[in-house]
Amino acid sequence: MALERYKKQIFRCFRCSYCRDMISNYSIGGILKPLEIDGVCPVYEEKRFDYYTSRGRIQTARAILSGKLDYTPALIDVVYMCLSCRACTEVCKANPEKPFQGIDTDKVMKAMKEDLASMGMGPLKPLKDRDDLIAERNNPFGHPRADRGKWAKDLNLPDKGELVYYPGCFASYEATETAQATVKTLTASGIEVAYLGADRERCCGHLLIWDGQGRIAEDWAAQNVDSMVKAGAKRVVLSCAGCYSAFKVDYPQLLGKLPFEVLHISELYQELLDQGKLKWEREVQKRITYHDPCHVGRHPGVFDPPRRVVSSIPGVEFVETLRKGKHSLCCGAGAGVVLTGFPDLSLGISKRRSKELKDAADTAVIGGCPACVQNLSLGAKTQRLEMEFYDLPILVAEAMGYPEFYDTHRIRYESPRARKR
Amino acid sequence: MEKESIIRNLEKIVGKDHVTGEDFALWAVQGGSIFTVYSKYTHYRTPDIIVRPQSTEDVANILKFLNRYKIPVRAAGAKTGAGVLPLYGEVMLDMMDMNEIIGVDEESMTVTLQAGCPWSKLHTFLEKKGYRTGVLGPHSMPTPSIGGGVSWGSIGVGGARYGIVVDQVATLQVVLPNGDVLRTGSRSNPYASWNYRGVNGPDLTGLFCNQSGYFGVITEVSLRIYPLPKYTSFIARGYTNRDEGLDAFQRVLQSDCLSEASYNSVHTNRMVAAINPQFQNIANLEGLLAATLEAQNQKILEGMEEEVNNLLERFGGAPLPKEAAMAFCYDYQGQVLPPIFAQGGIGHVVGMVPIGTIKKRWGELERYATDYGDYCLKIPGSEIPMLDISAISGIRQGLAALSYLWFFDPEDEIAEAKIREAETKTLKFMGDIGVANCHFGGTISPMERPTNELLRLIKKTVDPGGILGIEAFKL
Repeated sequence: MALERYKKQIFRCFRCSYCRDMISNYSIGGILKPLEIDGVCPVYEEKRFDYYTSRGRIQTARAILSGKLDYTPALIDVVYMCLSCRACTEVCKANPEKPFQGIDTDKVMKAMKEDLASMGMGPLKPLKDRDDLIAERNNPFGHPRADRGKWAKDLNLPDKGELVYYPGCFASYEATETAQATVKTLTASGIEVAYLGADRERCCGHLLIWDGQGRIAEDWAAQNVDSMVKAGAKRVVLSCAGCYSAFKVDYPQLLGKLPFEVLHISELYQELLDQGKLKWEREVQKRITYHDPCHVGRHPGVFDPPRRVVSSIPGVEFVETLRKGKHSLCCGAGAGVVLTGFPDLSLGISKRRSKELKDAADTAVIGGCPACVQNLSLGAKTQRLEMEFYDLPILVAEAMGYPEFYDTHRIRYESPRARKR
Repeated sequence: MEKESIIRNLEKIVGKDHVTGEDFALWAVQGGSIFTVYSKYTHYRTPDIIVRPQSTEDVANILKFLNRYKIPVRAAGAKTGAGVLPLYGEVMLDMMDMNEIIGVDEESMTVTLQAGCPWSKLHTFLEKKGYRTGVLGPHSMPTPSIGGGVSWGSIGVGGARYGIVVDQVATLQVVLPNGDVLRTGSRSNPYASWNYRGVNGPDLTGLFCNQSGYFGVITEVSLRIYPLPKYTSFIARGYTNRDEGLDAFQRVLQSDCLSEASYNSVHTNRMVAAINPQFQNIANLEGLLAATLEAQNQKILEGMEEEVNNLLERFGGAPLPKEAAMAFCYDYQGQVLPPIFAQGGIGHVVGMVPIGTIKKRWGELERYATDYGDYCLKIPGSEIPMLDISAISGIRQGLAALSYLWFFDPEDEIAEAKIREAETKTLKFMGDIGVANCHFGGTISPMERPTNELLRLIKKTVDPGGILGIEAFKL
C-alpha cells in the first residue's frame, strides 16, 4: 500500500487545525510578525466539512491504515478533490521527520490515489479518459500528435543545443503565443534555444503523476530525459508550471538525479536581467499583481524571480495580494485533477482567487502556468471582473517591444459598456 | 429514530449541504490534540452524524428536534482539545461555520463574536483596531474556537494578569436543549446592547462557563478587550535549584507586574533542548522562568522591570537571553511545541493550584509523571523519557496552571493504554490534594455532596432528556 510510506506522518498529526483555521499567530503589539493569510484550504473554504482539510484527510488516512475505514465512492471523490496545492503543508509544523515543517498531505493524497489506481478504483472516469487521450495523442486536448510542433514552424529552432526549451502540451497546442514569446525573448537576449520537436517531446506526465498513474508517467519521464540527453542539453527551461514541477520535483524522485539543470522561465529571465541581457524597450504602464502558481511556488520553491522580473519593467506599478508567496491561494485547477474531475469546485475557487487579484490590481501576471491563466480568466469572466491576465513570457515580450504580443495576453473580460467606450 | 431519518430532518433545518452521516466524515473529526483522557479513546469513537448550524436559530431548531426524540448531541468547536466527547449514536453540532465577529462595543470595552470564531481570527481583527483580549487563547495553538475555550475553561497566554478565559467573559448567548435562547449578564435585558457580567441577578454567565457543553450550547460570546500594549519586555532566568526557581516564580507573580509567566521543569528543558537546537543552553536547568511585562508607558515598564529583576536577584538563578522568554511566553506554539508534539501521541492533564502547594508537592506530582516514563518516547540520543512538566502559566497572583504531557508512540496501543492510566491516576491525585480542574467534563476531582446535587438539579432542569451528555454527573 503506497499509503504505508507515510504512516509515521499520518499517525503524528496532532490535529492542531492550523490547516483549517490558521489566520494569524499572536502578533500582539508587533511582537511577532503576523501571518495574516485569511484562510488556508481553498476546498474547505468552499465545502466547509472537516474531511476536506488536511487534518480531516490525515485522520481519514489513519482510519484506512488502521483498517477501520474502507474506500467508498464518496470518499474517493473527496480524495480527488484535494488540490495538492500544499497550502496546508506551509502552515503545518507537525512533520516528525522534518522539525517545524509540515506534513506532506499532498503526497499522502497522491499515495491514496496510487492505491486506488492499483485497486482499479481510480482514477475517476473523466481523469482516466483524459489520461488515455494523452497516451494516444501525446496531449490532453485531443489534437493530432503531429501538430505539437506547429508553433515553432517559422522559428527555425535547432533540435540540439545546450539550452533546450520544453513548452509542454498547453503551450504547444492551446497557448502557442506563450511558447513563441518564450523563444523570441530568449533569442533576443542572446540565448540559443533548442527544441526537441513534436517527435521527440513526450507529454511530461504531470497530470498522471497527480491523479495516481505515476507508473505510466515514469516511462514518459525516461523518454523525455533520454531525448534531452541526446539533444545535448545541459539546461532545460520550461514555461509551464506543471511541466516544470514534473522535471524539477517528480522526475528526480522517479529516475534519480537528472543529468541536466532544470530552470523555470522566470529563473532564466532573472539570470538574464542580472547579466544585463534582458532589455526593456517599452514601458508597460499598468498596475500589476502576481499570482504564484502552486507548481512554481510551493512545490519547487520559486517565488522571487518572477517578482523581480515583473517589477523591473519600466512603467509597472507592482503590488501584492494579501495571500501571496508560500501562502498564495490556488487557482483551483489542482494539478489538473480538480479542474477535470470537479469543474464546479474548481470554478468556485478560481472565482475567489480572481477576486483577490482584482482587489489588488486590474492586471494579473501568472508566473508561467497556462492552467492558472485559463482557470483564473474563467473565474474573472464568470464574475464579470474587468481585468486581464498575462502569462509571464508574454508580458516580457511586450516589454521587450514585440508588437505581435501586445494583445495576446490571455483572456480579458470587458463589460459591454466598457467595450462601447 | 433511524439515522437516515434524523439526517433528513436535520437537512430540513440547515440544508442538505450542512449535514453528513458518511463514515469518513465522522472519522475525519475524531479526537482533539490533547486532553485525551476527557475524550476517552477518541481514535476509536466517532459521532454518527455531523450537522453544521449557520445561525443561533438553526441551533435552536436543531436542539428542539433532537430533544423531542431524546437524541444525544454534543457541540464541537475546533476539535483541537478537550471539547469533543463523542459517544455512539450521537449528533455532533459542528459550530465552526458560526465564526463571525459581530462587533466591538467601545463603551463597555467588549467584543462580541459567534462561538465558532477561532482565536487567530479574533486577534487579527482586534489588532487592526488597536485592541486585544486579556487572555489570548491557549499556549499550544491559536486555532481553537473561543466558544470551546469558554465552555471548557481554557487557560491561556496572558494568565498572570488576566486569569483564565472564563474570567474575561462578559456575557453569553446560550441555547438550551428545549430550543430556548437566553442571554446573560447585562444582555439579559433586551434593551441593553452593552456587555457586563454580574448584573441583572445571579451570574448566569458563570453558570455556562466551564460547563463543558452539559447545560447548553454557547452561540455567542462577549469578551473584555483592552488597548494593545505600547511597550513589552521579556525576562528569562535559569535555575540549578528547582525550589529556588519556584520561590522566584511565586514571588514575581505576587509582584503584580507580569502579564504572562511560566516555569518549566528539568524534564521540559531537556526535551526542548534536545529537539530544538536554538535552546541547547537550557538542557541542564532544573527550572526555567519566563515572564512578559507590558505597559502603556515606557517609564512604567522600566519601573516594573526593575522591580521584577530586583525580586529575582534575591532567589539566585542566572539571566537567560530574552528570546527564551519570548519563545516560552508568547511563541510557544511557534518556536517550542511543534517539533515536540510531532514526535508522537500525547497524554495530558492540567490543573490549577496555588504556587505554595506546588513547591510542597512537586516531588509527588513529578513521580506520577515519571513512573510511566518507560511507556514514553525517549529524548533523541538518550534513554530519558519525553515528559513535559511545567507550571505552564501563572494565573493571577499566586496561582499556577500545572501541566503534564507524556509523549508516546501513537502506533503502540499498550503504551497508549498506560499513558491513559497515568493521566487518570495523576488527575485523581491532583484532585485529592486540592488541585482545581479546569475542565469539568470527565473530572474526577472530589466534589462535596451539596455542590454535586445542585449541579445535578440544574442539569435535570435545563436538560431533562439528558441529550447534552450525562457522564459528568454519574447519573
